[in-house]
Amino acid sequence: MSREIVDALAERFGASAALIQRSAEARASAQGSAPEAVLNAWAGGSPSPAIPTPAVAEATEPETVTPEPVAVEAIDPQEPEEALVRPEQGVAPAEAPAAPTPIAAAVLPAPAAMNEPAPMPGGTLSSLLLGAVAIFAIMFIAAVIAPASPGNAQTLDAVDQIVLSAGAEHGREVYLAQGCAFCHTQQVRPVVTDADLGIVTLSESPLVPGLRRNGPDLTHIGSRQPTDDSDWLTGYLGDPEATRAGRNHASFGYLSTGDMEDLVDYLLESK
Amino acid sequence: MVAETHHNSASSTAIDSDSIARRHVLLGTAFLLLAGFLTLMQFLKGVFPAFLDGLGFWTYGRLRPMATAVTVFGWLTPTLIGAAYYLVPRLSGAPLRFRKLAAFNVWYLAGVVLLGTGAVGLGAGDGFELFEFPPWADVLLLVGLIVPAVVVTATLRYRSNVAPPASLLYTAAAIVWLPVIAAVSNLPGLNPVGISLLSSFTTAAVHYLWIVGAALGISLYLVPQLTEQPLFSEQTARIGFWTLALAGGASGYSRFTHGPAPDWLETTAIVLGLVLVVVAITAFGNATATVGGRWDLVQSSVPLRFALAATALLPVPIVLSALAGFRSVASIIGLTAWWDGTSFFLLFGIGGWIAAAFIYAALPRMLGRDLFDDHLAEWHLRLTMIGVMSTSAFLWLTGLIAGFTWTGGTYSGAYVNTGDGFAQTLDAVSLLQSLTLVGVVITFIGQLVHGYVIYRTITSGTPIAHEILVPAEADGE
Repeated sequence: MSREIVDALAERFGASAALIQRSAEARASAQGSAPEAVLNAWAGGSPSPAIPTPAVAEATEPETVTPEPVAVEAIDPQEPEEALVRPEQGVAPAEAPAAPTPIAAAVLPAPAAMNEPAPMPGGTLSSLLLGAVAIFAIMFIAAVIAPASPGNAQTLDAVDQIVLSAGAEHGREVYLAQGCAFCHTQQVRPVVTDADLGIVTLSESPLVPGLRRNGPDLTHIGSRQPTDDSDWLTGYLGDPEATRAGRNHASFGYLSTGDMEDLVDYLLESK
Repeated sequence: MVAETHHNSASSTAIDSDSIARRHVLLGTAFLLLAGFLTLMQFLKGVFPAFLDGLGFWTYGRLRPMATAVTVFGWLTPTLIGAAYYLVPRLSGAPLRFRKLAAFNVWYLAGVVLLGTGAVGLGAGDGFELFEFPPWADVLLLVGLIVPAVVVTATLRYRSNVAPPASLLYTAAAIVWLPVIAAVSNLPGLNPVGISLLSSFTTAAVHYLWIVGAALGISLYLVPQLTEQPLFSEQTARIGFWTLALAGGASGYSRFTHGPAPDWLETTAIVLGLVLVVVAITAFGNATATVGGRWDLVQSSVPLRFALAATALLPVPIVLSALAGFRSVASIIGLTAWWDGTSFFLLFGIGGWIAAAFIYAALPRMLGRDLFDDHLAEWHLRLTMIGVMSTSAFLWLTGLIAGFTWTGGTYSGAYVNTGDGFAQTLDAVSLLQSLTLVGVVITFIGQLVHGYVIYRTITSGTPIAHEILVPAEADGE
């Protein structure tokens, strides 16, 4: 390819020479002509002659001109005028002749195609997006719905299941709204670390498992001392420093009396 | 339609897609500063829970979900949506559809995030990460997330290319996945364990399908653009995409290894966590191969460095998450700060760097002004790199030490991991927690620099010619 023409076009279109060259090659490949002819045509010469090619070959050509990001950006200066028109560069005179569209044509549809928008029937992208959502749906059903089904419930007949009182149920909501679960877990795992924490938590537990243990696990807090005492818990949550100095725990003294009582009930019933 | 000469302002009466993208980006940046501040306060309260004690909205338990919500839905989501609005017309060859709706949605999203975060601060949160807004706010948020999906899918109906480039596939799928994730996040009829499992699923889905998915879409667009090299391999990128689609959500159950979930679900999560490594490898390989022999450009282009930092470091959180899912590993680091380190890296590292890459590459074009100062942008990269990596590293270390300390107490019988015994285990990590706080402060300073660069670019950037796409007047509305 003529380097001079490429450079001139690069300067004219405000794109890099490499992009101009690739665009020309893509255009030439798409229309079955030589890159030099395309460049000449863009530079204002005679239109590039098309090289006759078999129909089958043409049918397979679109793959070769699928716009890569580079190619698409390269045509930004030459957006199809009636659909996506980019204002001219600030230094260009307003009355400058309309820029030719060869680069755009190589990677974007003809202006008419965008000026008279017509939805593409189905097509690859729609199918791909549907596929992506379908995979999500399948994984969601397999990983969320299926584990919640009765067949997957983990229960131990020998262990009494906790049944929370109405107050404790509301206390659990207070526990969640205050973000207690961001520091305390209520899940005992079958690992050495949790060996001293009590009976292992199963999937039917009404307690909030939590995912982070900044503070101690509270699964069986209602059956430990001194936290099995309502007054002690109320005092500690209201003013931790006064009840146990140096423990570095947030105060929940701002809770209403009802909320505090229910929260304490929830903790006491966590056994 | 006439071609107009622009320097600083878009005079077109129609709303152009770049203008809508710009509004999203600027909204996201404003929320970034709030997210950074709330995150700093969250970590401060984590180290000093009694600091400014007695105020409900100032407790760690409320600050943490507030910070997370503002980070994900206030900062990253609008920024990534803005990036999608910038990329989709360019990659599809079709003008953005429903532009007025998209423009309105910027303010709508801002209002919903503020309302929802305020509600959490007032004690109305539901306590389950990541969609912890009260139900009414979650519904409003869902509406705000449906809009970009509608706009993008409607736009794509008019695309000119049958075979979309991988960057368009990632971007469009991420935009479509997000409202689907939000829609299923409040599934009724589950007990607390079921809700926790669901929460793990949706959190991982937001992290990987939305944030990482959109980030890779942007990266696949930016890296070839900035290096002026064609993408090394579309096929590799597509392999990564389908792997992401398969493993993005369910791998989140790794956090529940040994927890109250069926064993087969744990095993599935462990396997999918490993599968997710393929995404990181394909992204890393594709980016580095695309740069090829143009590493000299990495030295001169700040957005390229941000994009490559995000892509090259993506394997870190993914591999560490996969590792953490193994039963032997989870028995030590499960329920520790390890997972916080991974989340921090994903949100402020991968998400933040790719958002910055996009902003530094595209905002000058959208504003018609040169970036105010490349050196300051470079400092943004350095500070956030140091801040994010040190914060995450200290959190990972904190998790390891805490896990071993808990286990050590049980083995030795020296203390029980409750009450005073647990308080002893906290002493072992107190220094690391303070160092983590330092890392967060450095990250926040980097974010302030980022905000300053954008502010000065708007007010004092050297005018350049616009490169916005001005739509045809009757098109798309």
